[in-house]
Amino acid sequence: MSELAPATRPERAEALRRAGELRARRHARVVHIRQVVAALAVAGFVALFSTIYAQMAAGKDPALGASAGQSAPVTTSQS
Amino acid sequence: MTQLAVANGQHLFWIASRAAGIVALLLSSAAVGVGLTQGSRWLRGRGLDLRATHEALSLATLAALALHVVALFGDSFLSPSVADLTLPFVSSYQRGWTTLGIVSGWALPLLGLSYYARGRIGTARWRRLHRFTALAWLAAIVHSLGEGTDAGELWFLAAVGIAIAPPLVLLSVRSVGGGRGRAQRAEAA
Repeated sequence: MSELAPATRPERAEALRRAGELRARRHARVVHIRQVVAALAVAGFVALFSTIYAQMAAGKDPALGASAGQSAPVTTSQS
Repeated sequence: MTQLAVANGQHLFWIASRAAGIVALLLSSAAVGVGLTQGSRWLRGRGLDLRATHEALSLATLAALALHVVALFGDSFLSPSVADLTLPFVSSYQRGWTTLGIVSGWALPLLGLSYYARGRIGTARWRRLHRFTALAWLAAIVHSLGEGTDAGELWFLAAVGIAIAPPLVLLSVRSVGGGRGRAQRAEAA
């Protein structure tokens, strides 16, 4: 009979406290994952932007070729 | 050198669009890969991490995709209209590849953001709908290989190859597994 008895107040409070801790840990983990992904995305963008810029400055751009930096582009593209 | 910097400055929007397009492709590949591993047998117990990673990668993809398109409006050489970059078959520039990019560019946010409306759509219907995200991702890959300025560059091909290989394998496994499952269910019925 005692096994089926409802949880006492201290037990309930303890369970709620544990659930709250678990929720907070999960939330912190999700925030951490979001921050890592955002940082990687920004770092990737900066790295690619710099690479393409340097490639263009060196006159080795696949679309502009050696004309990069000297005159208007002969052709252009996107992506 | 100053002259080079000034001339490159004229192409800053174009460079930004190219970089954002590549980032969007890499992030979407990772998002598709993580999405396909969700629910797999060998990663049970990592559901929360996988879902959070999938969601973060998907949202980062959409941000990069938005930058990819918006930056093109600043390109003084192409100077596209809003219709050129948002409506299929309008742009005269590489019409087929551009249209493919526009279609996938609309499909990815619509299918991705439908996650937040799955309560209204219905979970089962939303799951079926969400599978089309893989098709939009494949269309984006074809768009980048067909129209991307850097598509002929070794570093681009290597990066894209490394990024798309795992999700492509997972997608093939899932498709074969799904087909077998359907066939078994049909036999049992």
